[in-house]
Amino acid sequence: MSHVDEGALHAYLDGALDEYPAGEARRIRQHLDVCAACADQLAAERRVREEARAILGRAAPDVDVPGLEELKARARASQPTRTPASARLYRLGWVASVVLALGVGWLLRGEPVQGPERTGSSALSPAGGVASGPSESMDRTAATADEPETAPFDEASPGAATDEPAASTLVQRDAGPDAPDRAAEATPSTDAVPPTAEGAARLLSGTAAAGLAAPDVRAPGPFAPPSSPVTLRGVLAERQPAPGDTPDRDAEAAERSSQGPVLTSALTAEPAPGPAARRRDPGDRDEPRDADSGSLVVPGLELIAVLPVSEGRTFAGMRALQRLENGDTLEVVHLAEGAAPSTLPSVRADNREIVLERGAGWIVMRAPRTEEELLALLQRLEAGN
Amino acid sequence: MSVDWNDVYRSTFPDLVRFLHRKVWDAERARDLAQEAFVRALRHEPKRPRAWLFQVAANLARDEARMVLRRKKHLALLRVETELRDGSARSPADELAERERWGRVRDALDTLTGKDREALLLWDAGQSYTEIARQTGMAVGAVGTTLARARRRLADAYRVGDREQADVARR
Repeated sequence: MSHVDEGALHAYLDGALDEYPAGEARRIRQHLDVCAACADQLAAERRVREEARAILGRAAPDVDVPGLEELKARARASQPTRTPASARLYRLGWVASVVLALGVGWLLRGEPVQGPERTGSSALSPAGGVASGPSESMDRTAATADEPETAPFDEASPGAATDEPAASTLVQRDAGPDAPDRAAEATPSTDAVPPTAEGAARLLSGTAAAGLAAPDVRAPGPFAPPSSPVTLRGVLAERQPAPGDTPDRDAEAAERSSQGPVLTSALTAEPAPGPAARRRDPGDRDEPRDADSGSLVVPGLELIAVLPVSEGRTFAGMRALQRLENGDTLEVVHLAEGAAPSTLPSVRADNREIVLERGAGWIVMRAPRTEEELLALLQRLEAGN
Repeated sequence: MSVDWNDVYRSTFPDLVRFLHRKVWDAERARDLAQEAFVRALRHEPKRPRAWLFQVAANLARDEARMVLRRKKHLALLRVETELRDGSARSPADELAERERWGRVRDALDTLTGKDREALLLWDAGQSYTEIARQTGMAVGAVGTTLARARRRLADAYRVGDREQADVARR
């Protein structure tokens, strides 16, 4: 009788033999009862299993279970509204009529305008009648490409890789596994088409297909320095993501670019040659530089400690802890290019945080202060550099 | 058969947070994502809620990783903690020690292949072999072999990390 392989030994240790075919499970158990070699191997595998469990246990966060009622309320609030069947029929009928009109126009587009059968041809002439319908619609499509008409696509896309079925039908950007019930709960993709003439034309035109693949076609607006001071709180409110929110990142990027002034604009119209600019040398990323830490210290504050920040085994930046005037601790972190602010530990309960991009890196400031006060500290820091 | 969501929530939420934490390495974010997964589950009411939740959680974590990568390229304010949480204030030293501990586990996990890591994290979050097989696309009979390999590699990599740290300390 052949020995039991290590996979089956681990299944035995995990109590998963019941999930094996009954005959196979019985054979493994019987063999383990009589084979000394396999018993020894089982003991060795048990140690490996326990060691792995202990290692994983060292990275287990404390979990407090919040109330379910709050989540139920959130689920109710975010329940998608279904389009009534009658409205869908109406929309389909409307789209069908546009298809017919455009189809006729397309067929007639190359016909010469001549002869008595073209009487009343002003309505059918290439210059301005039905025949010009498609191209006019196309032109209108192009003209409206910069308008936020694509919003329905953007709205549908946040769950493209998670659980929003319509978006996955339309966008197909993430080929990974979807939620198991997605197919059953999918809504027709036509729900995402705006019920406007432009929307229908886009759906029918060649550019519409491209529009579906690229949810946001708006071009980023030119950067303009703010004409008036940007209120920090307003910017913060705009930028704060909802928990678990998974926005379409490409659209989000374009949106950000087109939204005009952002926080750094309020600070300096041009990036100041601050700490990030000084340590943005990618070649330096693997080695901490003591000299860097000085530029993270706000002038006038007592330095408590300077610590490296690592992302795995890679040096990711520096972190300076400073004592504020009343004894509170200010934390200033510079993350070099390639490091992500999300890898930092969570903000302490009594702290606020501002996160700013500086060139290719990030500056993160945390302290038990308001955002405005943190901003003032940042300005002091930059003034000192 | 209707699902007892209170029961599912109590039994699954901590496992889900633990699973997510090993993916995003931010306890607070893992908790947020677990809540989001539950909100979606309550909305969709799947027939197999536990498996569904882990699937959605894995997708959310994957989205999260992509979001971080994309956000690095843009001028942005990422997040502001506006709500006060009742977490206990910790000293920087404690925080650093915890980060180092997590970092070593993360390093060891990073040496595993994607499939091995996924299977191991799902197992550690209490998923059955059948559920792991369904989520990772492997046969039930292959789960044991995958877990055996993943556990051994994790333990080996962690020991290597131990030795390296000891070497650094000696210098």
